[in-house]
Amino acid sequence: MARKYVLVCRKPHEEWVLGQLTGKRGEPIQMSNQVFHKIEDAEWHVFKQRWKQHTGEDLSD
Amino acid sequence: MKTIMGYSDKISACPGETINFMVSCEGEKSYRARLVQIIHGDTSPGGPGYKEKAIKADFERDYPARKQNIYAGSHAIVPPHTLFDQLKSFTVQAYIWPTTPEKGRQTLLSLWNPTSKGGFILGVDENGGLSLTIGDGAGRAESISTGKQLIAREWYLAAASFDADKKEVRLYQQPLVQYARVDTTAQLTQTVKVAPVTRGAAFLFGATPVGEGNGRVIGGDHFNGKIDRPRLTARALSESNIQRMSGENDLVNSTIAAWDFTREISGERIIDASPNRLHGETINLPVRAMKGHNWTGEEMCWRHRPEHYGAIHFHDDDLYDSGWEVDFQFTVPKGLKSGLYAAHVSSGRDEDFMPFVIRPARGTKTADLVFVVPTASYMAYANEHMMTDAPLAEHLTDQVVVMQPTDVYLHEHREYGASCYDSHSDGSGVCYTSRLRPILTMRPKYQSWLGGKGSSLWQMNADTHIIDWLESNGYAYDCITDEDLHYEGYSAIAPYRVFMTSTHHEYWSKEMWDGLDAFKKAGGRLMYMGANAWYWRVAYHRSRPGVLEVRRGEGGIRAWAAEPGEYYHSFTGEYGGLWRRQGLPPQMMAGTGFSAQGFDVCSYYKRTPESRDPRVRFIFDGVEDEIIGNFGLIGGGAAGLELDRADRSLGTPPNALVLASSEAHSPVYMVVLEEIYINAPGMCGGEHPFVRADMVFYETPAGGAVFSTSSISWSGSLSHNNYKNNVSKITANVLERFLKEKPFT
Repeated sequence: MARKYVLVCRKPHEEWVLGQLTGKRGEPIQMSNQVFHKIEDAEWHVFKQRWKQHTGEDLSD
Repeated sequence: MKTIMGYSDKISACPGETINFMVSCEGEKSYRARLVQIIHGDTSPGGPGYKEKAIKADFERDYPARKQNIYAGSHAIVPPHTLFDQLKSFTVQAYIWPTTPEKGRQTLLSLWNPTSKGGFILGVDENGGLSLTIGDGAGRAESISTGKQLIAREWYLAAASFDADKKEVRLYQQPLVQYARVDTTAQLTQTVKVAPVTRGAAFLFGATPVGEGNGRVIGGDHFNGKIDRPRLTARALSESNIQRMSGENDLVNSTIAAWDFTREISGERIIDASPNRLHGETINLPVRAMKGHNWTGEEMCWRHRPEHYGAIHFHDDDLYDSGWEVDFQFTVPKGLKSGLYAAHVSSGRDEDFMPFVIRPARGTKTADLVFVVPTASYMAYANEHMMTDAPLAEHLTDQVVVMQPTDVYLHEHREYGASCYDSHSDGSGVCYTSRLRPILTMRPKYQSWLGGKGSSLWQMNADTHIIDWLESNGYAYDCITDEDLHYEGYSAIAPYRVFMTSTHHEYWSKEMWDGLDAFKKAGGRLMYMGANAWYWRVAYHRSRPGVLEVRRGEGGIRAWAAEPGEYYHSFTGEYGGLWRRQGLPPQMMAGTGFSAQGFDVCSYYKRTPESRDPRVRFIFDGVEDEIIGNFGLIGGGAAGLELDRADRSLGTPPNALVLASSEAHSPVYMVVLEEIYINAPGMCGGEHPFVRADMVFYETPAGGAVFSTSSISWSGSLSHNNYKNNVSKITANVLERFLKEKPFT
């Protein structure tokens, strides 16, 4: 589970913040400053991060 | 940050009965409590919005805030005794099966006075080896360790002796299975400078006492793993006598206690088989009916060979009764409408709801419809941690897991206990779940990652879609809970004409199953408003309230698997696992049973030619559409999350009509495991015919009938278009006909 992305809802149905798990039970989630107002936007952001991680390429919006 | 939360001692009450509420509130001077009726817990802007009714209650006022702690971790305790006080030389021993020797310091057996710090502790040290700590109660302590790390999930005979005359300690770490090139055997003799002073000490199994709280001894350094045949002797035994004491009933002179965990397995007492009768009790329900060091596989049921089930499995995160002090009470007044209620508490920027059901007065009903609130299923899912502990969450939903602030809090505060979908910190499955703790996932407004796209509701909050529909359409109904059905059986539902299930009524005890079966046989009508019901068999504790057991046996969609030989419930001795594996598939109860699941988006039903049968004309009265439920708050459709299908071979009655079937499910949907004999590609939505929900109707011989939606998301579509839609219409048609006395056959 280490570095697994999660979205933490900050305002119901309105606002989500991207975080990553540490992989250890009970350890605080490492929250980013990436805030999203649509879950689809967050999904696309995470996809780009993973694409970059696996291929080294940046995907444009 | 969650700052206020609580729980109640009862989950349902009749007029005249009293419910106690326990609240913890930190960082504030006071909190406000009031009574609300829960109508619609869904806060989604795409639906009717959050609805509650404020009800005047005598407990409504401000209360002083205080933080109440939860002490998780199980152990067993024998109270202080003069025989303990008088110990000079001793031998303490047990078979042990450590599951996390790498975790750090853990206590196996202790006779320790936390005030004087006198006594001894047989444990696992920071390096994972067997150790003995001796304290003289005057500030001096000494520890001896074998220095050899134990291997996880291997049985050992662990023993320590102290010879008071020689001031000599001996440690024995003897694995029962030997491996080449790996030797964890250790035997150590060492003189020490201190002697144990055990005065006032209680004997603990799986922990060391660190103080008192919530009316009981609080344990520390909790052990993860099994303990079998613990013994205490008032002299330093030779190795041969230690071996002799580890037998079944061969006790040596000077035996202080020989605890036998094969006795009273279903209860909380632990029995000392020696003449001294130093009995004790377990705290926080460590798991019993566990295979002991001598289990052979000859017998799979602990009732048949209890001598093979002499182990108790302790966990550092077990939790039964939080033991909080009562903050306020509520005596249900006469005339208060039956329904789902909550004590709402709020302080500063935080709030919490403590849900409960108000029943009609005993022996009466106020409606012909009873909505049965599935508290067993709520408990099975209570405070689940799959989104942070299990990689499958992202796969099941096909999206980055969405967590609520509540989930974050539960992730960081494991002391609130786990669900039966979680594993303990040592990886073993959680088979007991209690409601005597704040269950933060059983709340209105709570969204769940399991609830699909959209409103994302699951279990209790999803069930408020049904309550809202009943309220909005003016249908009279009573509410009872699974516990009421379990403890009262058929008599709890006999007065009613229609039994309505929840969206996901998954966990059933035998008593519940028999009660509903009797209801159907007596001509009662069953409206199955969800999917994946009558799936797991559960057992309620026979003397302790608010706790049930699930053994995830061979088969089914399981978050963990019980160890071979541990499929029988400890609470009752009943065989656990799927009802289907016990010859009672859900199709025998409702005509349909669990077939596939996926947690991304939901789909729709398409009517079949059987929906034109005159027998079901009443169901489609006013419904011209071929497509049913292509809308909704849960995943955008009435067919989704979990799906049931009709199957004659599994017990769907031959007179059942399949009125509509769902289609076009995403590839995230997969056929349930119990249908897969040889795993192969082609098991997804769009590929396998079992990925569907079958809407079913059939009549019963006594004039009753069954209607099954077979989809968890069905109820999320009820409120669409201001409750004017084909899902709502079909539900209303069925309910109104089912409420009529006229027999179906």
